[in-house]
Amino acid sequence: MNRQITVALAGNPNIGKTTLFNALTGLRYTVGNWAGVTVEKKEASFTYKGTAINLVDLPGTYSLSAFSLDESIARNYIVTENPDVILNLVDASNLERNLYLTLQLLELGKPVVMALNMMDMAAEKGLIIDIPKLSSLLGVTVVPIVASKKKGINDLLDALIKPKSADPFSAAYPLRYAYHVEYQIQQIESVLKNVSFNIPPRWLALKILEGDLEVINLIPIKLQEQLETYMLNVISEDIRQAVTDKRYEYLSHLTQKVTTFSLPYIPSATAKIDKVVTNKWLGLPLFALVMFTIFYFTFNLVGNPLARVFDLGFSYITALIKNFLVALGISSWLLALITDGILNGVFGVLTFLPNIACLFIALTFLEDTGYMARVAFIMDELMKKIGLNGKSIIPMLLGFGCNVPAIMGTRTIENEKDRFTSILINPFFSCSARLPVFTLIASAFFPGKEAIVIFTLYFLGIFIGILAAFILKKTLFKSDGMPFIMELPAYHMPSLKHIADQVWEKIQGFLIKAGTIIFTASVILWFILNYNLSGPSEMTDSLGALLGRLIAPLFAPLGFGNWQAALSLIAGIVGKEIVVSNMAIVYGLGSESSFLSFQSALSGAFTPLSAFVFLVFILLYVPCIGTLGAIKRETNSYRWVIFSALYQVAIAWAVCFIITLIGGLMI
Amino acid sequence: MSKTLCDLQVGSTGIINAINAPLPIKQRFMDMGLVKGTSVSVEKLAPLGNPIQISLKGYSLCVRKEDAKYILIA
Repeated sequence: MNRQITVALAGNPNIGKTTLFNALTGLRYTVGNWAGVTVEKKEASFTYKGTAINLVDLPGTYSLSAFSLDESIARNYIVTENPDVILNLVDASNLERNLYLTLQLLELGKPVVMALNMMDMAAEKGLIIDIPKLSSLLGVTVVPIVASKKKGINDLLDALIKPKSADPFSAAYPLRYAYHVEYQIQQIESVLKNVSFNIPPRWLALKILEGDLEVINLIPIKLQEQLETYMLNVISEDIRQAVTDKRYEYLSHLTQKVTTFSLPYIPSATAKIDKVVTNKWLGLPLFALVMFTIFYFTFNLVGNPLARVFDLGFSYITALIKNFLVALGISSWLLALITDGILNGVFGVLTFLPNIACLFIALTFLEDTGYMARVAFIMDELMKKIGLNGKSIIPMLLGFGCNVPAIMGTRTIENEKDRFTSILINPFFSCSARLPVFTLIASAFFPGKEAIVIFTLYFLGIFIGILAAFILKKTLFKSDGMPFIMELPAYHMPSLKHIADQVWEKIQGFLIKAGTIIFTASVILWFILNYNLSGPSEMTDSLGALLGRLIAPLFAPLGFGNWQAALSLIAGIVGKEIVVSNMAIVYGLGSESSFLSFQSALSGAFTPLSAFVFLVFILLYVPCIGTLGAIKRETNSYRWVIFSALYQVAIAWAVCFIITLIGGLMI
Repeated sequence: MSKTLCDLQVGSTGIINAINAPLPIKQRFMDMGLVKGTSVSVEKLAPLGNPIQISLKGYSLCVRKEDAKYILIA
């Protein structure tokens, strides 16, 4: 019979946990969310030498104190789900800090197998680790690996499937705390001895002393009452300090025992690079240059030419499918639904794929090299002013390219409140799809002054985004007051394989979204733009037009209360660039419309002021379907999608109304 | 008023004496290795003057000045 084991992968953030996970599973995993929260949960099942292994990736944490969501998730999983083995990934080049988590894992009493990663980097530093000694001192199996080069993976799997002794904790766990702590642990253990938990009583006792409410609530009320004297706040703070101090004291001795340096100390490459990268004068200009390069690479060099190729390819495929369906003799409404509605909508969004891929290649590269942490370091002071931290700057800037990858890129912001704020303000940073709309309408109404108009719009978007961040952080996402402490990891060459895996994962996520929410929304929008209650119709008689007439009065105070404008805005939800082509249709210009005819048709419907207000509305209102899909994916809730759409419309209307009032006074 | 990590000059080193902060914040610092007796040095200031880069136990951390005030230096 096949043996089956569950392995939980635990380790510090940013030390290659994803790389190891991929190396073990070969990208055959499922991505979900931990119950009730938006933290991503990756799981994979595979068989190795007849043993079925179920591998669960725990959030990367430095500790299991459970003061952060990630720590709570990791700890609760181990305590309640009872995995057979904990696979602890440890960065060999940063042993002491990594082993701090290991000690806490060992205290949970589950068998631990340690994968000692980045042995190559340790060797470069001249660091030699005595692996047998480390293994015997801690009482765990230690397997040296280089996850990025897939070295040691089979040895690691062999160690994982080897049957483990029932309770390694009592036998091997080496650390004893100060006398007064140990004494109280024993007292509590004796109270708990008649209750059976699958957690070591020693660990429970320690957590009770630390005043850890999550754990205290696991034990029966009656026992809680008995243990009340051990749960005083004064004691718990003292115990926590004594425990943490002792762990690090122990680890500092342990690391000295197991490591030797074969090389004299040389200033690391990282320090040299940082001399330039975070230099007082060079740091910020260099960052600007990096961002410029990313945009140039994404939009000019690769993305847009590729997007055009995609566009051609999609037209070709659409034509093929159309011919095929015509040959099959399907009814014309179904044909139109498939080609004009579904294919047009989904392909329209897929055209963004090259840009999204490019932005993600750049993003993953910066993250993997360690540069991203430096960006956060140099920009933190600025971002702090709006209540966010340095890590929020990159998604914000990516928003100017495309809000979809920008929102997907917020994943690197660990603090959930900051992440949600970053997601919700992102659409205010005007994406490249809005530029053609701005350009066209600006040149129709403000010839010669297009640049000023467009600059004003971008600036307004930034201003509103910052204001929204400020308000969101003061209301819905109030800071928890935790300090912003971020590791500045050593620089290293990223592996192409890892970048490819990450980018593929993002693209896959986007494709699934395109296939579900974007598909559905495309069908609905196509339907309301091409049908009315009695059947197929011209767009000017469609449900959309009806809806446009219905909501047009809402826009009357803003100066564009005609149904055509309202309909264009509805259509623009598919993609902002569609506003232009849609306006050409609803103002009766046909597809052959020239710029001049566009100008004259619009001048009847808009004044310069209302045209500008219309642009502001397009800048600020509901994000496009792709962006809404990304918001759904990253917040894991339709609630935030609806919130995002509604609050942006409300803001758009309010800002437009103010501009109309002020503009009316000035004219 | 005792000396804090925030008062250390760039390039100088100090020994952590205590962390004077509410429990969750204190625990966070301690978990990152900022425990009593640890030697910590200030590497540099960010270009805008805040946060600071500190190093301890062979790794670097970025900490805001206002948070560095919690860390008392012997």
